[in-house]
Amino acid sequence: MGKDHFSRREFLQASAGVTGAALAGNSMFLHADPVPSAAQAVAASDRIRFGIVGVGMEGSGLLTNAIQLRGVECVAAADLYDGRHELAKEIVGKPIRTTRRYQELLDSKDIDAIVIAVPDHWHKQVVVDALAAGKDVYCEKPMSHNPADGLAMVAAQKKTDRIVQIGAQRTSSVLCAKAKELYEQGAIGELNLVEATLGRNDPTGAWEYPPPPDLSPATLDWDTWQGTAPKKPFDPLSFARWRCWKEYGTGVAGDLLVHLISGMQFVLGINEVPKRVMASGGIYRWKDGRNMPDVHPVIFEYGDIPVYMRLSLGCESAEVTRFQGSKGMIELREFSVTYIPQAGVDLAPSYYTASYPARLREAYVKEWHEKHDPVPGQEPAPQTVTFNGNDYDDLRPHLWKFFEAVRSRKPVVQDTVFGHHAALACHLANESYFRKAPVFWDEQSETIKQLT
Amino acid sequence: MKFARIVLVVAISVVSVVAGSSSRAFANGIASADETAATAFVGRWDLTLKAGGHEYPSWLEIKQQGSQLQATMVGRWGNARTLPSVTVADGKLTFVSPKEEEESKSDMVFEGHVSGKTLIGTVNGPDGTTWQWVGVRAPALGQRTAPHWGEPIHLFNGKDLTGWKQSKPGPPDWTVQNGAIVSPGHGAELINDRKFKDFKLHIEFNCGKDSNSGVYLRGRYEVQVETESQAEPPSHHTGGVYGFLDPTPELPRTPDVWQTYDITLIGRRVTIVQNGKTVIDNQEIPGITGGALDSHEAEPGPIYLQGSEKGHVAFRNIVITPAE
Repeated sequence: MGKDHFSRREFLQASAGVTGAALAGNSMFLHADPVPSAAQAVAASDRIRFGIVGVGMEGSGLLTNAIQLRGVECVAAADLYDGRHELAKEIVGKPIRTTRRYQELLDSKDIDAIVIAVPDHWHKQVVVDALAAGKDVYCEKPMSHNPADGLAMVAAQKKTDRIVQIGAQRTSSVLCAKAKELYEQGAIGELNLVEATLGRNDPTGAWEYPPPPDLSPATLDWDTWQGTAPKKPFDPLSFARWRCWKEYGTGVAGDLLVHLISGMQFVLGINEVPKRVMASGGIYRWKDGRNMPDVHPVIFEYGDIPVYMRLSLGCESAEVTRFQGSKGMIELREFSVTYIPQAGVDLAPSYYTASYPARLREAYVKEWHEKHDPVPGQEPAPQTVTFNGNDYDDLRPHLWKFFEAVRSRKPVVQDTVFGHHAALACHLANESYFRKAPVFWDEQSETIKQLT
Repeated sequence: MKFARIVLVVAISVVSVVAGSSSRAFANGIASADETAATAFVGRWDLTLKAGGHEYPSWLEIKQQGSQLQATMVGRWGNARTLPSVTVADGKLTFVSPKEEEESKSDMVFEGHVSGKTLIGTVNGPDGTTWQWVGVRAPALGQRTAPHWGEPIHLFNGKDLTGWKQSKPGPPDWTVQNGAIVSPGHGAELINDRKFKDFKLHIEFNCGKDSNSGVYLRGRYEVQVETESQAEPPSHHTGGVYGFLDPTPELPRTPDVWQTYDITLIGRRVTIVQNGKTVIDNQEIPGITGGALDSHEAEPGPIYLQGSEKGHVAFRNIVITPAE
């Protein structure tokens, strides 16, 4: 070792953008099942060919990750904006078919699966059409734009034997799996509260995305893009920032809350609609003409358990979910899961005895110590444990689960029923916000009703 | 899906990961909170820095001297060095590694908490992103009984690089010439495939003029080989364990001459015999040295030969006798 050791040179090369080789080392982190990469060859007959519908911000990430998986190949891309035909070819790095009409992908015999990353108001139609065409489907979250869409998608999957997986990644995360394992082992005793927070405070986090400069009615099929929404003149902001408006999106609930709900459903083994939902909030920070709230705290009741989730685009705060119970807490964060056990007993004489006169207090304290002091060497010493792991929003494990299911024909965790329940919780949160009243899901009429 | 936001959130979420709850005090008398907190960090820690897909081993020792804390660190490269600053406040450890040592635009400020038996934290990486790091208490590696030696194993067949791999992909730049492995200069490391815990190692080396290389034991502890480090501290000289142990006595530098090492490593105690003369006698290696493959000190590891930084170095007759 001197001043020019290979480890230093290698680091400098890597930071200069030249790929350096990592010296192998055992990790102390939670390892996911390995996701085989595209570098490993697979026989042509075993390859899955997929087409992607929607190559926007989310779709481009899905495409980039999917083509790195072993035995997975993109052959076609559909988007209503022509700039993304160019983008899809750039990502795939070889000629693929591109079109504005997703129906052409559904008609293609050489396509096994469809990856869908279109605005929420288009999810149902593309999913239902893809299933009718016999394709397996990966669809971005939230599954549905409204409860009726969700019901239609559940019904459409029931009619086929096709795989549908919704794209909330946490059901494929090792961190969430560890949290689930701890919970199922009874680590926190009786669950009595779930709380979660997530906050952003920047224009991109609040969806104020810059529209592509060449966007125009010539490069975009604006009419089709509007779909079920009321027709209006060409508006590049609606196209790029659709999450801001309920006509196209589902707000902070459908964008972010759905991740927290999906993660919670997975960890706790819940697959149902909350009994009651009460939301508050408003548009405080981004008064740009949007009609969805930028601050949106929600209280759900799942069975008898209160679930309090606070979403904000108005102030940045760490994203965390806490499962709280009689024996401690499981704290789930993007890169870690921590178990914080609690003894649940007094570790000292009760401080209420400060209100006793001295003679009574002293007698109480003496007796307390006799009864409760631990045997030396056997002191209760609950140990907080943290498991670190890959980001629970990592796309690759979730995509890999989908393509594995396409191969094996085994069901996935996050099917249309799971996705419908998670999305419905978000629709209830939005409905309560707009009605300024508690709401519930009425199974009889299959509608959201106000609690009176 | 919100992959574009990941980097931002790393910075926020990890800094605030829980402090340990294990030092909860009984009401009847316990040391002050600050002292308790500082004690939790005292000792030797095997660190792993995580950045992108990379893991970098490091090592940290914290000592308490009176009311002062003092820290020694081995970073991603280079020698063990005393840090300019280490503090504990509110259960949080902060230590600073100067930018000059780290090829960084600013000092690397490590912040961590004890969480269970591990230290976890973040640091501002030299690449401008926030890196995560974890630390585990370095194992004592104490030896209770005398080892029983097994059969000697020739790690180098004298003909080709069978059983050896370079630390970077691509065709090897090390060569075999006249029954010796020759480093190309400015090359990658040459790492043996087999891992050993305790062993005796015989190895012969021939160090050209103005050269710098080394033999890493268990892939973690470097026994120095050099002809150009006169100006540096004694532990950086041939026969030393880099940054930690001085060779005593020090033998004269003899470039282009074959020399021998007979090295015994048991737990963390090392004996180094150079050309038949004991230069380090059963001394403790405190921790990993710069360039270590990892910091998992309890695990077996390979012999690795440092790709010389400049100049050429050759090795031959590499025979290891593992403890059974």
